[in-house]
Formats: sequence, structure tokens, C-alpha cells
Amino acid sequence: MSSEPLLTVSNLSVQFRTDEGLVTAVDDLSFSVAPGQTLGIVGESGSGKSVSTRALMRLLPNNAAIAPNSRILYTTKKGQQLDIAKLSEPSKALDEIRGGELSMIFQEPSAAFSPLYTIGNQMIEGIRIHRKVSARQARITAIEMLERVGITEPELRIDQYAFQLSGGMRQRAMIALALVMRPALLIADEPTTALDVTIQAQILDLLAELQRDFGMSIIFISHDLGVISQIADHVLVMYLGRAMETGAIRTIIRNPQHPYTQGLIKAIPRLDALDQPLLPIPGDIPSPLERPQGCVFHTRCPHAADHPHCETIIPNSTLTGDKHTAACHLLEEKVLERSL
Amino acid sequence: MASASIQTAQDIKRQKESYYTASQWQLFWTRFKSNRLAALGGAVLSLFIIIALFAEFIAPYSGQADTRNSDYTAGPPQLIRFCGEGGCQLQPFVYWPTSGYSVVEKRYIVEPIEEDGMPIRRPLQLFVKGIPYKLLGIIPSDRHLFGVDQGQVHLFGTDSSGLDLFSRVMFATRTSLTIGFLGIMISFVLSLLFGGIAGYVGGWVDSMIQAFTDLVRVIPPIPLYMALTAMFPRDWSNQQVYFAMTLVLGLVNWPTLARRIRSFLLASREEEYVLAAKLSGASGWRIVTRHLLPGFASYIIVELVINFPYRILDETALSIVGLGLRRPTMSWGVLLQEMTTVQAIQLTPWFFIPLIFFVVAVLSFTLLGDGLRDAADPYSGIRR
Amino acid sequence: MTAPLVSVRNLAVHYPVGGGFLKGKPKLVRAVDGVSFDILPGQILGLVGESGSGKTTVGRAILKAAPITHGDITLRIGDTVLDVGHLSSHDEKKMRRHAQMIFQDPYASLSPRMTVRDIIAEPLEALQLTSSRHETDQQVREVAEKCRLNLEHLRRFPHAFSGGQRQRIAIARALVSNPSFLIADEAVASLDVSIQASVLNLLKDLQQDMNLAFLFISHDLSVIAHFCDVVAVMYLGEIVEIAPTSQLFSNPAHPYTKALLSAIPSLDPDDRGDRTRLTGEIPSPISPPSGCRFHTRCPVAEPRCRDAKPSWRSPSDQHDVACHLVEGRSEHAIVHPVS
Repeated sequence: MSSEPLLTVSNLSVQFRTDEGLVTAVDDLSFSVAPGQTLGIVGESGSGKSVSTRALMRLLPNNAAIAPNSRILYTTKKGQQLDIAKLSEPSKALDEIRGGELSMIFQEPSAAFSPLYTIGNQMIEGIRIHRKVSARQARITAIEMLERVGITEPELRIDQYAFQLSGGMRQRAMIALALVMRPALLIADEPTTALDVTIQAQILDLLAELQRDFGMSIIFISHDLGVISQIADHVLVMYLGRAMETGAIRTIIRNPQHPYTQGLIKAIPRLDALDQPLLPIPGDIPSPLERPQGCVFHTRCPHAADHPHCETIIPNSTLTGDKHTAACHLLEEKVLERSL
Repeated sequence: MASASIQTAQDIKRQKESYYTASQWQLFWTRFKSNRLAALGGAVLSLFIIIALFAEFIAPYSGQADTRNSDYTAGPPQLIRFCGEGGCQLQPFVYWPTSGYSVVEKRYIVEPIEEDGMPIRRPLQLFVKGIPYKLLGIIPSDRHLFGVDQGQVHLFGTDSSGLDLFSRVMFATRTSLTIGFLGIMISFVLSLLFGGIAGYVGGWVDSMIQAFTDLVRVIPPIPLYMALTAMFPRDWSNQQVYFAMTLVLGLVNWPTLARRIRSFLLASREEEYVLAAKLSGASGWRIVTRHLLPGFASYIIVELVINFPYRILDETALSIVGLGLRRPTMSWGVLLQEMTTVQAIQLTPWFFIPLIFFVVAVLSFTLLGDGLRDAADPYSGIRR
Repeated sequence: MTAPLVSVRNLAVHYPVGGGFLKGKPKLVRAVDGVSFDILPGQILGLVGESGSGKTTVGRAILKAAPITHGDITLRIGDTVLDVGHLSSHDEKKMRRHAQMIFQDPYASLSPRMTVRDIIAEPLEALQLTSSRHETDQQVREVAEKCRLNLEHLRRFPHAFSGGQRQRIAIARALVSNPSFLIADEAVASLDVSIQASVLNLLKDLQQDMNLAFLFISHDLSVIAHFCDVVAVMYLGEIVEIAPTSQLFSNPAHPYTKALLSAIPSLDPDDRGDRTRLTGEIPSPISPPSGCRFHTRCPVAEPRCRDAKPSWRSPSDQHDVACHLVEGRSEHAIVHPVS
């Protein structure tokens, strides 16, 4: 049995108004996150992975709009269910969601820290917005959290500015800032991409450990399937704003069904297969202004010629196994055959 | 709508290709054209430039003492009429009025001159003969854009000594625009010299030039202007004062622009494509001319246009307080100085017409400058 | 044995930061400190390290784009050997023709105001390698074709292209003068995975066609493993291990190399467990640690590591390691060419 999902996103679409016209960044995306689990979202540039998670926190720029039929159902810590997509901006509910329920870490810690305030200023401010505690108490909580994320001499660091820390420490401080309100869901947007591998490994270990201790859910966004493989329970593979394939991490890595996921895995240089040639996915990622008709992947798909609908009809998500879905016409056919 | 959808794939392809093969200048121009306000500013300014170039032709009179209309001092603008007492006519005309100050009524009184009990009509004509001049300083001519066959016409009225205000505004437009233009050119050359050297050479040369630039920058401009213009000998001819003014405007204003040029060069010198060009074997000269200057040119033009209205403002401000140009030179500043009397506000409101020109010009420059900047740097204006 | 094409001996690049007019004494950054290696004609040497290891500076010093504090860099072209530190302007032109660079960011490295044709033609025009515009066009077309660029796109400006296409333009520019040596500085790091593989394959094909020698600088060990013949691992301005690729990956000897390898996230979700995790971060190159520079983070460091610089050892043929704890023939610090 599985518990109720913490977050259920259905039919999420996000469009941007630009000088060149309307750009669809996220198109009819549905996924869910179970409590205490990590959902990995993997995709290349233009896949909409960042935009879709920013929509969850309603952190989109002014020229973006969430489509009216999009639903972002979230169950708060108090057990109340609300649709984040419908909350008005600004509203008290939204303020409580941000930080208190959902929190975010970024690729660049400079996005989270103001250069004008110390790390402590910002953490204490965050705590006191969401909880009625004294400044002293908040400071103690903040120091504890800094220590918890592996920052040495937290009593000293709390009064420093983020730019005074080294890259890895800054990343840790950002995690502390994000977790100090004990959110139920942490959104991690490429938090290790700018880091060296040895530091990346440290941060991944830390996140896994914090998740175990705090029991929070994580949405982990990365372009690197290897990183996702190390941290995620479930994966969502995105391409040009659409979900290509979702499933448990082991299933996706070992038994990918969608031609895009298959291509992606073959294109990754692997240390355990040095003698095998790299097999790139042919062609280039289309510009967001030139979204292909039909299946968005058909311009690069090796099987697009095998099916008449690829170029014209958007494929539905097909259940191909336990909690394993893929959006591909070829699979629709296969599943149909099996059921007949 | 239907015709739009019939657009062939070929057309779309061609359209895309023209975007892909569009140079930065062409993209700049496309972005600029889509900005209506800036285009409006540009159009208005073109009008001003035409006025400045052809002032003698557009102005019916010289605006100086030689064409003074002693019968019509401090006269209000004359209306162009098609109808009047005695019916209508197709050709526009003006009455031929006189004006004089009535000591009893304490105001100027205007009366049309009558003949046979009817006010005299003076038909307005195009390309009339008038005082001779040289168009653009070369082509001799005595034709003016419009005028009347006898007497004078004063569309903007006359000043207190009977000089045609319309003509004066035309000539003032020329003076003020050229003074701003020359002033900005002088500061441009200076800032290009100092900023260019500082930015391209860098190192201690940069430090020294920066120290000097800062020294000039910290002196407040208004007292500096005053000190410099007060140094002009009283017996200088108007022409001498005019050139001295451009020099002063140029000398005081170069540091800001120099600083911008410096930082622009410092930033683009570090661009990776500059290193790439260097590693491809490009010489310093080639890097400057092929890689740095093209980006620089649009940047400079934008900077100059944005700075232009400030030079006009400076000239005007100085002339208003009596430190800049003086009668009989015609500039917006001089004309505006004449309106700074209570009498002007009460009795002769048309003395304010030059103010409209001045405001419209400054506004147009600002709109054009903003539009150019947005077009050159599409990311500057997006954050709303 | 073939003579090396590129030979770097004891290279050091130190440059001052801060300081200036009335700002006090600048600090000295020891970006590269005593690096030596050879690259044979047609050989691909991978240079791997974390940020701050000095790998980019090594590449730039070879092309005379970073100041050489001391040490020697020589480039062999035909029968002439150019000393990169002391080039006449004639020799510099020769060097530029034969040694080219591909940068990481294809958005920054292409002049936005030049057409693709002009960008690719830059080395030909700058070095006056062709006698007519027609000849230039001819060569631009040839190399563009080789780099799988659409010839119709030569009239376009870079803003019309995606990252992968731009990188192919940059490759075409680097190859148009028919060089024998290329430096690729993180050339695929900014590309998407699916594009990265195709650019790597293209580079490999061109390398084989033109018998190019490469200095392939990357932070990504998996990419290095797939592309290079020999790998040198850098840490804080020094090479700590150099070996043929298969040897380095099957039998890493330096604790830093081992840690780097173990930090690479495996694609296997079940391979998450115990690894050697490095603690701390790379120290500042302004005041590098004494002795072995890695001792502050090394999981197996001993007291002697702090005191003495390790000499080179060879645990096996063609495999050199600078670590006190590695057994092997102790040799003078030379790096032999690996064939």
C-alpha cells in the first residue's frame, strides 16, 4: 500500500509571453511526490524542469502564466488540502506555503542569500516569520541547524556573510536556511551542478542524511542522470516541457521504455564501459519557439518513422509497468497488443 | 485572417532565414522600430533638424533688427483665416493689424487696419520673395517658405521690439541644437581619448586617468559653468561667446562619458571572444576594429543621444541666468530669458512659445535615447 | 620513439591579485607550480582537476595567453622547435597557425557581430594564410563541411544557433588553419548530454582524420576516460598522477585520483554505498599547503606528507605518481612520453 501523496500536480502548463511570441515552457505535466520520498526530475536545457518546480512555489516571473486547468494539490502539515495553483498572490496562505511547507535550494547560493545581511540575520528572520519565538531562541535554532548541515564553528559562521564562505560551505548554509523551518518538501534545483565532484558527493550525502532524519520529501532537479540515480526514488524524465517517462529509479535506469530515456542513457559517458562508443541522440534540441507538432521528441527519435502518428498526435502516457509510465505511440501499441 | 494562414512554408522559412542572417544592427533596428514612443521622438527630432538646417528658408524674416516690424510690437500671434467680415475665400489670409501699448488700459491693444470700413486682408502665400540668404551657407536664394506680399505675418506674434517670434524660434532652434551638438562632440572626443586609453591600456595608466577624471567630476557643474562663462570678456562678439560656450559644455561634461567608455572597454576586453580572436592570431588593431568597435558604436550612439538634452538644458540654464548667450543671438535660452518677466505672463503669453519647443525637443531626445538604449540592450527594460 | 609535439617543462604561472595604485602589495597566486608533460603528435592528453587546480591556466600558458613565470614550453612544427616563452612575431604567427583553442562557453567565444563565415575565416584572415577571398571561402566551406555544419548557414549570425551548433562553429574556427595541436578547455562541459556525445564523437573523428594532438582539459573524469589516451590529474597547481587512460582508471595510485573516481555519481542506483569521501575543499592557491599539497584533505596522510614534497614514483610502466605512500621506482621528476 502507499500513503497519500504529499503533492499531486496534474495538467500543469506554463506559458511565457516573450517578444517572439507565446512560449510553452511546461505542457500538461502531471506527477506526484510521496511523503519522505525523493522525486528526481531529469532533463536537458529547455525541458521545463526548473520552470515546473518554480510554479509549485509560485515563483514565476511576471510574463509567465499557469494555465487555468492546472492543479497543484498539496497537503499541509496540518492535514489541510489546497490547490497552490489557485492561491492568490499575495496571500497569507502562499506566505505560509513558501518556507514553512515548501522550500527551495538553488544552483547558486547567491540566489538565496542577500549580500547585505549575515547568514544569521536571514535564518532568524525566516524562523520568526513562521514561528512565534524570541530572537534568542531563533538564534539557537539557527546555530543548531548550521551545525546539523556540517558547518564548522556555527557560532562564528552565523554572523558572517554568505560570500565569506567557500563554495561548499555556502551550499551547506543555503541548505540550512531552507530547512530551518522544517519544510515538508524541499525543492533542490541543480544544487550540485556548480560544485566540484568531491564537494558534490559531500552535498548529496548530506541531503540523503537530512532527509532520513527530518522525513521530508525532496524534488531533486538535475541534468545529470548519474546524480539523480544516486539520490532519487522515483524519476520524471522531461523533454521540451513534457513528461517523457516516469517510474522508480531502478526501472528507468535498467529498463527504460521511452526512446528519449534510452537515448539519454546511451549518450552518457560511463566509466564502466570505456570501450563502448558514445551514442548521441541525433539532431539538436529544438528552440522553444519551434516546438515540434505531435510528439515533441519525434524530430530526434530513431523510431519516429515507424509510426504514423508521431509527427501529428501527442502521445498519451501509457502505463508500462508498476508505476511506470511513458508517453510514446509505439508503447501505446505494444500495451494494446498485450491486453488484446 | 485567412490570408495569414495561407502563408506558405516557403515564406515562413524565408522570414526565419532573414532573422538568422540579421546582423546586430538589423536586430537593433527591428527592436527600435517596434518602440512607438521612441519612433515618435525620432520623427519630432527629424523635424527639429530640418528646422535647424533650413532655418533661413522656413523663417519668413531674419528675426533681427533689420526686419523689425515697428507697427506691431509685442503683437499676439496672428490667426490664419479663411473667413472674416465680408465673406470667406479659399486662399488663407491674415489681417494686417497694428499694435501699441495703451497707457490708459495698461495693455497692448491690437487693431486691424481698415480700408473702406473693411479690415485689410493679406493673403498668405508660399515661396514668397523676401530677404536674401544662402541656403546651407551655399545656395543663394531669396525665397521663403511662406509670407505675405506686403507687410509682415507673425504666426507666433512679435516680441516687445517688434521682431517676428516665429523666425526667432527657428533660428534659436538652430543655435541650441548646434551648440548641444558641438558641445557633445567635444566631450565625446575627450571622453573617447581618456576613456579609451584608460579602458584599453588598463594598469597604472588607467589609475592615473581615473584619478584625473574623478578630480574633474567632483567639481559641481553649475558653479563651474558660472565661473567659466563669467570669464568671457564682455566685449566678445556673439560668435566668440557661442564657440566658447560649446567649449565649456564640452570641457565640463566629458568625465561621465569617459568613465562609461572605460568600463565598457574593460568589460569587453575580457570577453572570451576577444581572447579567441587573439588566439586565432588577430592583431591588437584587428581586435579593436573587428571585434570591439562594432559593439562599441551602438553603445556610443546611445550614450550621445541620451546626453544630448542635458547639453541643451545646460545652455538654456546658463543663458536664462544671463551667463551664456545674449541678444541679439537667438537661442532657446535667450528667448526664454525674455519671457521671465511678470509682464510676459500677464500680457504677452505668446512669449512662452519657445518654451514649448524646448520641452518638446528635450522630451523627444529622452524618448529616442531610451528607445535606442532598449534596442541596444534588450535586457535593460524587460524587468517591469 | 617519436619526438614530442608539445613539451612542457617545470611550468609555473604565478600572478598577482589585488594591490595596485596606492592599494598595497598584491598577493601572489600560484596557479601553476612546476608542471611537466609531453604530448606526442596525434596524442590526446587529458588534464583533469577540480576548479582551482590550474588546468585552464596550463592550457592558456601553452598558447601564450597566460604569463609564464618560469619553465619552458616548446612546440615542434616540422623541423623547427618554437620556444613559446620567447617568440619572435614571425614565430608567433606560426605558432597561432599550428596551435588552436576551443573554449567552454560557445555563447561567449563567438563574436556576436560576425557571421559564421567571418568567424570561421578569422584565423585565415588574421594570419593572412590565404591569397584571395575566394580561397578563404573555399577553405571555410571545406572545414564547415567537416564539422557537419550546414553550408547555407554560413551567412547567419551566431544568435541563430544552439549551443551544440555553436560549439561546432568554434571547432571549425579552430581547425580552419589546419593546426596540428588543439587545446579543448572544457569544450563539452556546457553542452547537454545528448549533444555532448555528438560533439565528442565529432572531435574524435577529426582527430583521427587530421592526426591532431589534443590537450583536453576537463573536470569530468568520465568524458576524459572516453576521449583521452593519457590522463594527467592536477591538484592545486601540480600534476599528482599521470598515466595511460586504461591504467589510470583501472589502477589509480594517488589518493586524490582515487577520491575523484569514487566521487563520480554512478548511474547504478544500487551503487550508492560506501565510498572514500574527501572532507574539506581545495585550499587557496595563494598559500598552498606545505609538503604534499593534498595532505590537508588526504584520507591516508602521514606526518611526512606535511613536511616533504613527494618525489615521482612509477608503480608500473608509464605510470607516474607523486605520493609518499606509493611504492615503486623512485625517479627524478621527469615525465616520459607515453606512446
